[in-house]
Amino acid sequence: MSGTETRQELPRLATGLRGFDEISYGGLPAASSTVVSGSVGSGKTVFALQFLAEGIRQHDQPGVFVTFGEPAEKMRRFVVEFGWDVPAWESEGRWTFVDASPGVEDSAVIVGEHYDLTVLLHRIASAVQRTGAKRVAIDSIGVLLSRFGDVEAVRDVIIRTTAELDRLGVTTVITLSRDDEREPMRVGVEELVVDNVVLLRNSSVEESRRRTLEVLKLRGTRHRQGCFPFVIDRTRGLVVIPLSVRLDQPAMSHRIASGIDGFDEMTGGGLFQSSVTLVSGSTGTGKTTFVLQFALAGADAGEPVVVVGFEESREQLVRGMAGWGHDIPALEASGMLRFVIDYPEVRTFEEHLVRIQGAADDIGASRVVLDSMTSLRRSGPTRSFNEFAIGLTAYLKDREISGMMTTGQASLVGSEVRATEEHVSALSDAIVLLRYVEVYGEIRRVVAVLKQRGSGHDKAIREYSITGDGMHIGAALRTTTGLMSGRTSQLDALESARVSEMFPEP
Amino acid sequence: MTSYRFRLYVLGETARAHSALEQLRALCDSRRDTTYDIEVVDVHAHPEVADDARIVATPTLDRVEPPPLVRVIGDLSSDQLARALELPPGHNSGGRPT
Repeated sequence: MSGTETRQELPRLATGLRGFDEISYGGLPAASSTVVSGSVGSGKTVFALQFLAEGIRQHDQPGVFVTFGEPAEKMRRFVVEFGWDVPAWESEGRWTFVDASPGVEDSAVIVGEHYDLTVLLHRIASAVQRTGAKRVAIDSIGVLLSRFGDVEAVRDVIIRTTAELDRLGVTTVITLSRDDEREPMRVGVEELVVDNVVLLRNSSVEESRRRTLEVLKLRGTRHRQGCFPFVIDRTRGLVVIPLSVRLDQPAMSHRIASGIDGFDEMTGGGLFQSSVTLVSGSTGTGKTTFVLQFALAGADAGEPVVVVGFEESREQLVRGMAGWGHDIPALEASGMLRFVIDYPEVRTFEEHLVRIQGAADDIGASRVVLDSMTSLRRSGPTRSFNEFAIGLTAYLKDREISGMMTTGQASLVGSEVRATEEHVSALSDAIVLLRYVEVYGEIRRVVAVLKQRGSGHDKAIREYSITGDGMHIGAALRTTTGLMSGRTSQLDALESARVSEMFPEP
Repeated sequence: MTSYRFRLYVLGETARAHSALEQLRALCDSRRDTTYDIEVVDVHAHPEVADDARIVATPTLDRVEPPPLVRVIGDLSSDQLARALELPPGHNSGGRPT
């Protein structure tokens, strides 16, 4: 509409919607209007409501909500679900509803011709001035259009209203229905305020619901391209998953204790803080023990930890830690330990991610362990799983949280990493293998550090044992070769002595 | 004898507001056994009234009495308006003893 303007980067208004400000590089253009378009059930009303709620909660910016569809009373009940105390904000004069809904008693409404919708502009402007509003949400144009067939009149009042709101320095979100997921904009109103457009989609992928958000355009400003998954969480509202790992991460330097006897020596003094470690092993090798010990070592050091479990119940996990001398309920009560236990299938990947992030945020976690990626992997589409892995890694890196995840191995021996988990392997900073090997006709368990970013590490393959108080890493198996392939053979004593001389143990 | 109470919401003293009021008056005057009262509300001066009544367009005409509320938005022909407001037949519609 204002094609003659040559402004460069416009000032942004941080919305406070999680993940959205990241993908839009800072939020919505300030003192400007943005259309949020989506089909029924795509989450656009939640977007509009939360835009106002976060304005009040995070930025002390009062807001006006204009509702054409549902009456204000219904909106008040709806937002309670998310824990936003709109009635309190209303009584403080920080939130005002402009109720332009048809209303229940208006069953007998006859719409003639030549009406003027200017009164809407007056009501909205009056509410903005009364409230001192910095944000306005208008929900939704589609409903207004269906009540008043005169597209011209609707377009006219919306254009005049947004112009007035821009002039008042207010940042506005306008929701617009889309009948068809594939159609970018409803025909007839595309000449509206389309300098800034955000699209919400709700589609079905491999029988799994998938919500995505795309910033189609923002006037004079840069933003990330593409569709980003999001969830609507009962307590956090709309959460966008930015799907990228920050490139400006500080270099890892601080090493942390693993709590596993002998393991820190293998990693050159300990894993790095805010690194992500993958622990790979077949069933019974002790991966769960490994990550639980790592978790409790964090709690011992005063670093809050989140234990995410997809395979065992909280009780089973607690029983596994029984001999280690920790008062688990006390750690939970003090906020040092939080369990997030779920069946993988009960939520989408995005919902799992948001739940894990929520728990980690609640306790200010320094460590997050997850057991196991393999169980989770089986519960949904590959693409969504990969996005989960990226999203979780990005989150951990962003908060400088140390992560450790287990992954299963189909065969009992050998070193193969399953194709479906290659993605996870590539994202991780360190990989630890726990394996069964056969040595002189006996099954032994060995551990190896396969990779560790930014540090030297033990190249030896070491035997370990699990006793009542956890895992103990022992000596390198130097007389055995072929451990990684699972086809082992023994060197004779002379040869092994020669090798020992060439590569003395540190 | 039926008593009607109307509220007409207008935005400023415009020609459109004026003609809506005139049309309603003429219509009511032409009805038999009818008394009526019209309250004109200028929502430009009283936006809070528009909020309470959820007015989104002008002119909006509410038939407040008798209940239930009937709301007419915009212009209708006099015949359509009489039907919408459920007014009794007019003087010229026959059947009235002279």
